[in-house]
Amino acid sequence: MSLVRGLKHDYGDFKLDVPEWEILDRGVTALWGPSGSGKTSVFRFLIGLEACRGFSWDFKGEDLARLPVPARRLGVVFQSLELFPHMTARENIAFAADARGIAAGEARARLAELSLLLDLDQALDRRATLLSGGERQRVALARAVIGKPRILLLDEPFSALDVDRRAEARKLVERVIEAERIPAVLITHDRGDLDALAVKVTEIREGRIV
Amino acid sequence: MIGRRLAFASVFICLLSPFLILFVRFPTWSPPPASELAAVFGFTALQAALSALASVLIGSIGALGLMAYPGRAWPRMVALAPNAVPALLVILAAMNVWPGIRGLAGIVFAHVLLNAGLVAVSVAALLATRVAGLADLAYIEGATRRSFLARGALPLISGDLARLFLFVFALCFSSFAVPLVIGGSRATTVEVLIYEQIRVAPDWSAALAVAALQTLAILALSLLAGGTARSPIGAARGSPLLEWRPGVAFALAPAAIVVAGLVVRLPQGLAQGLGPGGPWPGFGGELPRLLAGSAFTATLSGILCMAGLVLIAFARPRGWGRRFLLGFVAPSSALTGFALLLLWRDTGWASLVKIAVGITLISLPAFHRLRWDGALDALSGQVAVARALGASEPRIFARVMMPQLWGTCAFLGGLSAFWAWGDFALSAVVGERALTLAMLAHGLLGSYRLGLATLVVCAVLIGGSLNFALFWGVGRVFGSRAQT
Repeated sequence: MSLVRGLKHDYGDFKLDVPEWEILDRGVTALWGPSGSGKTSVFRFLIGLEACRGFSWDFKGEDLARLPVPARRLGVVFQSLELFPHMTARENIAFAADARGIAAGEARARLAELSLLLDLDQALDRRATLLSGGERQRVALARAVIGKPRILLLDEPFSALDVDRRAEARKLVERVIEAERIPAVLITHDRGDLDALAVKVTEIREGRIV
Repeated sequence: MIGRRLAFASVFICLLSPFLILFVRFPTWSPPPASELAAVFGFTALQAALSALASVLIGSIGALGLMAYPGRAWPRMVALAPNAVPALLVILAAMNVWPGIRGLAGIVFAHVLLNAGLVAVSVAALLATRVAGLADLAYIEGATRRSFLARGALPLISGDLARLFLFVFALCFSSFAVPLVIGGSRATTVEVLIYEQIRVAPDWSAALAVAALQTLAILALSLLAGGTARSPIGAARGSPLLEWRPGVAFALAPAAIVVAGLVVRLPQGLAQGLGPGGPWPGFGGELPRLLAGSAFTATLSGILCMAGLVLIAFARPRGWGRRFLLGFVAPSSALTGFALLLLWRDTGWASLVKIAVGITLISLPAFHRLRWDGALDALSGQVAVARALGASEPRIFARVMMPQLWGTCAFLGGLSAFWAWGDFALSAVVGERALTLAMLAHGLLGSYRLGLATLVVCAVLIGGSLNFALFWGVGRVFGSRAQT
């Protein structure tokens, strides 16, 4: 279990106050709440896009909050996916492997493994802009996990998909988390995500854990 | 992180350098008599107010015309053209279509030619984004165009129109090229006064005092105007109550007048320049030197501008750094030229370097505000992901950002080069004799040889366009190489 502490920030018209929050070592820990409840703010603090005094994140004896962003070794999938549009799917995934300093041979093997797991073979050599919604999401997932992150962070990852595709995408995420054996934090407002994936659910409202 | 801070510090110092040079080199100021200052500031404010008022009125009618062409880019591009080309073209066109143009009316006319199209496109964007939905609703409920514009649209965008007025007022207040050529002896603006104190009087400490007062005035204006003015070209959406097809004539008239002004005088210029008395009587031997001077200055300006933009991209300023760049008011042409003049006295190639540096210092903040900041902002999500994935800053810069930015960067560099081909205002302060084709055109305008001036300006236009195309092509090559 990892422990988030002292996540407090005053935005003026909105206050985030999370004194303590436990994230499981296995499976999906979900942070659930309505729009404007502070979910994405928590996400931004966890990945290091924002900082505040007193914030600590104890992960197996190491305080991740004190580490610079790259050293936190997190896998991230944003709501908007944020694939690099000028790169192919393969280059997008390889970028993350390079960034983590994974040797070329190992990166190739990992890519083959993930490509099989996520059924990406047909998409690998296409530009990100030419991928379908489902393919884009699978590429984002492969990119997030190729560097063997400590934790996978997912910010509303299914909200851009239509209802039919969501069920399929949830299964894919579940498959990846099981295969890679990494804990995941899921930020969502969709109860369907909780039913399908979450092992533990924490509710947030108006910046506070309920 | 240190690299990014150093990059930002170098941009910060470069942008402030004209002010720093002036304050270091001239610790004492002695302003001209208060009565003279009051008269000059009063006239400057008057011409700026009339120019802004006329531009906003004509531009607002033009906006209704542009709204009748939703989703079409060409009317907006044509409307913006007078604001995008060097002021030299517009001034010459104004002089060609209005013989004997002088004084307050002439200045206002030229300023309206320069700015009315920009206002039209900006107001059209405002209407499309802020009012169109409401207009559809009012249309369904049976409102007339007149009543909706007066009681629905106008109250909704009156604040934005006021800011637009102040924005154009600030542009006209610090305008140099137009009053320098068209103003005449009884229509002196602050910029012209600074120029006269430098080049005619010469009283440099008085020039500095006037420049400092003008800088404060522009700073106050930019704060009132709300700081940022972003690129107004956007997807426009029409609505029956906001469309008035004849209005497009108001939006496109400035561009049409500029083209007509050049075309009408070109045959005379060709006859004078290339006819039996030619070629280029009186200055034929100078042409290769002036052409080389223009090409050198423009290319260097484009390169420096690109370098500045790349540095800003690497620095990726946030917080106050970003606010500084968005709110920074570039020093006027006269002040920048004055600061560069103080560095060292010379008459040759070093002057051309100074002109290129000056144009870069003036254009960089505007380019950042209009396009570059938005381009960087659009990549912020990708940068956040790349950082979270463990990528280093140089890797993010080289592999994520620049491949996507080269096109915009080269486009803006090309625009800077294009403007540099047409600059004569800053050049007139820095250079003691004609160094470029634009300076030659300025001299010809001063002696009312409008035919030859038109011919030279056409050469400037062709040279600037070729230079722009060169940068654009280089940007495409860089971009595609970076992506493979």
